[in-house]
Amino acid sequence: MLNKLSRRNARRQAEEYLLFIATMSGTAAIIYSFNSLIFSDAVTRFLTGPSGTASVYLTLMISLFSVVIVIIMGWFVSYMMNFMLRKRAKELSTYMILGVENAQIIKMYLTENSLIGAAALIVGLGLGLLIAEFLGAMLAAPFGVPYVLTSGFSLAAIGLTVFYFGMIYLFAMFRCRRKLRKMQLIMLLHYDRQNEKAHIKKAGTAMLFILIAVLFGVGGFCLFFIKPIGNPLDGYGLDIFLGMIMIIVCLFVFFQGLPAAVHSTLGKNKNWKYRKENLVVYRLLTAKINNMGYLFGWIAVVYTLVLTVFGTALTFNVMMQKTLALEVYDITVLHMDEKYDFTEYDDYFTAQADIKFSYSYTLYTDYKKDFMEIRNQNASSFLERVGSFLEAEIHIFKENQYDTYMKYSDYCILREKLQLDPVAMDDNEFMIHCMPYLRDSFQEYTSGGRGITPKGLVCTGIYTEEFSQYSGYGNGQEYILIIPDQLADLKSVLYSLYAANTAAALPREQVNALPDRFGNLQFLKGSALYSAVRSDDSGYLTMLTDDSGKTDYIGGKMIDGGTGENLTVILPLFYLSLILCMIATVILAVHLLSENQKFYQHYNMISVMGLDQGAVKRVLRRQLLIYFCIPALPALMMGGALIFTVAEGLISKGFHSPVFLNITVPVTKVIMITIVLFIIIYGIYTLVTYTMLKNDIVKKIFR
Amino acid sequence: MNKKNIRIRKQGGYEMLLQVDRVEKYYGNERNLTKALDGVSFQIEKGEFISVMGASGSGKTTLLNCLATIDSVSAGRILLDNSDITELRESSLAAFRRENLGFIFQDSNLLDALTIEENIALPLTIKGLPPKEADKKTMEIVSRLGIGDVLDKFPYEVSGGQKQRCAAARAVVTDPRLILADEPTGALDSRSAKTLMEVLTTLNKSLCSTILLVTHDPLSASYAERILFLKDGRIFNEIRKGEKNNTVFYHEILDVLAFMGGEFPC
Repeated sequence: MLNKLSRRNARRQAEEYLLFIATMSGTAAIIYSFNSLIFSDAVTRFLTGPSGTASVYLTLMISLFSVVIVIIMGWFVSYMMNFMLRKRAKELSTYMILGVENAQIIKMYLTENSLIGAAALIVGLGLGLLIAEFLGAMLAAPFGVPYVLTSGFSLAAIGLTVFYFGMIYLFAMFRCRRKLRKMQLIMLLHYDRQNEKAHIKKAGTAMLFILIAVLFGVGGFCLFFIKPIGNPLDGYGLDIFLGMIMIIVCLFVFFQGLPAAVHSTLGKNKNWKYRKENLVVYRLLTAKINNMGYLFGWIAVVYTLVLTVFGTALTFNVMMQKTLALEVYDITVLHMDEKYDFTEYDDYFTAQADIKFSYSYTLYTDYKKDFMEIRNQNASSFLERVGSFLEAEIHIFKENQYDTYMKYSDYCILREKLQLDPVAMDDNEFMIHCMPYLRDSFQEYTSGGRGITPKGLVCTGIYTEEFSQYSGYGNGQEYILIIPDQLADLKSVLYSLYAANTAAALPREQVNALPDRFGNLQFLKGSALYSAVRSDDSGYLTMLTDDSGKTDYIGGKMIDGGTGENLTVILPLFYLSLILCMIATVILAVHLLSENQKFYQHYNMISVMGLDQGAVKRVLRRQLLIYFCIPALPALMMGGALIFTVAEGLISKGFHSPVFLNITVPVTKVIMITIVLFIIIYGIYTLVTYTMLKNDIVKKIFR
Repeated sequence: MNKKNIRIRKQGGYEMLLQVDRVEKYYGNERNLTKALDGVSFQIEKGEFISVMGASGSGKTTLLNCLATIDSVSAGRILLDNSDITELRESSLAAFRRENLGFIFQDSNLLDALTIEENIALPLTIKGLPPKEADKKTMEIVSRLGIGDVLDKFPYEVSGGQKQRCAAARAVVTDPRLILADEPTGALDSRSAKTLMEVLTTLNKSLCSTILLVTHDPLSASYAERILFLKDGRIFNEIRKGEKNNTVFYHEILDVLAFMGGEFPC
């Protein structure tokens, strides 16, 4: 009999807490889809870089974040079970009055929740299959790999998801069982009244709370933006940490004082309160938020965290995209000290990859540093500005320490192949191609009549398009001088380069097998973490591991493993922030939806008094909008500030020269995208909540 | 027409406010038809205090809901100032209630999120009165009913009697043409019930409010000037108070109830 009751109750609960169950399904889908990446051969294949570490990092990160999510979800489910228990206290007390044993009630309640969890898991796994395919395709995109649908479940991922889900429910049930064991009849009878005793704080106390919150908020902002305490070498970690603590305290204290502050300002202003529907909106709202100060505080803190984590993931993404954009070639092969024939490589890549263009050329040097010194001054002042005390020279590779030259004819061909506008110069002229931050300094230098050897050459133009000039071993160390062909032959050969762009990506296994295929070939960046960089006797760094000069080094966008390693950070951060955002929002929504009966009575009463359908809908909309804005607005403000600090720090310190001419642009972009995405997710939940409440209330009243 | 004129008319003759004409209300389907109201007809004068009595299931609440436009009639007409309210469009019903009716319910139905003062002001804000005027009218009715000491309290902080007095204040604050009271004393102790009925009498006398009281409590009904007795959806009897005092009228009511039979309290 009780089993039958459990099943029936589970069905009824499913209808009442649809949003909670939908979120549980969504969570199961997300857990499945992210964990399926670990077991996906396709993903492992294109994530495994030269160092072979990216997919291992991804596995580690996703597993670590999954454990964090299990703990958070465990708390969330137990919170919801407790919440549902409160709403059903009277029903459970009736069972007790009828003589049902405590143990039987516990069994029944936990069975109901297990059934709900199982249903959510099954739906979630189905949904997870679709999300996993979408994620796989998204991951494949930066690598240019066409993603093939796997058209099947990953049994291992299912097993892991079921295990994580089981852990979530075990954790939640353990917590709930403790509460259920202690329950007494009298407690249950009064369970739903516990919150009614909450009193509004006095106006003076409220203002004190708000004042303290403002002080902590301002303190937190000062720590974020002025950074008065910490050390630039540790990235102002202490400032950011203390700033976060102050922001958290600010949010908690703020929500303790908010209801009373609203009451003492708006509530006493009859001129505002008695205008149109303000009274109803104001009172229905304050009645709800009076008892939710702590919860709003928690939710605002979680949203701040979500925004920061999401913003951090986006910042990594912006940095990854920028790094990819700075390297214009898919494949490069470098050979030191002599003009070199790359036919063997070209034949191979032409046969294996769909080559769009390939070109071999030579760079020269005269061992002078006129332009390099200007570059160093600019780079040093940048590093100093972003708080790095490292010397600018430390970021120059040994092979790029001198002014580097390129033949005009090679430059013209490369511009054409890279689809850049054609340029022209005479035999008594030279040009500069540099990163944008050097343009003004070079302009100033060359306009003073100074230039290159032989003297008398006039600088006819400075170009700043992306040209593989960042991080060395490409077309110079952030700049290159373009000179007439006949002058280049008078200079020393620095190195030869083979550059190719392909229409399709080479399979990762094939890339990894290249050194074995050619014998004298090594990866230029043995690891994206630059573990292969070694120090030269002169103090410069070098990535070249063989001093004999017989080894070729392969690099380029398609070869370096940086993208995969960046994704191993970005994806888990998205994973965590998405689930946290869903949990916090569903708690807010369920708090409102579970009061539908009470709201129905209120709205029914005011409709009897003459509030028409349009006005009732308007009041409901306003009530919901303000309710959902209460924790979100402070979180958006605090989260925005945190994202700014984190994004600015990461972007400015993540590159050893200013790759963004104006750092505010990418930082603002990150903040805006984060806020828009947050608002979209939040908006969906708000809209669903509104629709459900509207169906429960307005349709019932005006049927 | 102002209140003074209404009073004069009331003394000299009568001016009809509400005319219920052969109203029928059916529930269910053809196989199982329940006639909640079966050809009910009566009239209410402006400024009159009328009570409708009947046992549970007699149709009195259905009648009240039809008058309140909360429920529709199956047949017949209800004329308020010669306008048939049964023909009102769905979209006009809210405005009609807002402009013409005041309600007092058995369990007061005060919004527990609003203070007593705000509950009284609520219909005025719904009606769209300027805030200052709404406040002024609220304070006027509050002082008239002597409930100034509980204004800042929430409904759960005051007694049932105080709640109902507040509900009465809320019902009359918009100066409606008709006040509909559904078992307003049903949940009150006898002392609070007496106080509330005196309040309603005061409202009727001093403000010339037209009140239709639905009750099955003979004592409460004895405050009305006229009583309609409903049985099985029909008007079974009608008695008038005339010059009789409450006690005499009360006993007359009991006699009618005894004659009708049923489960009325003594």
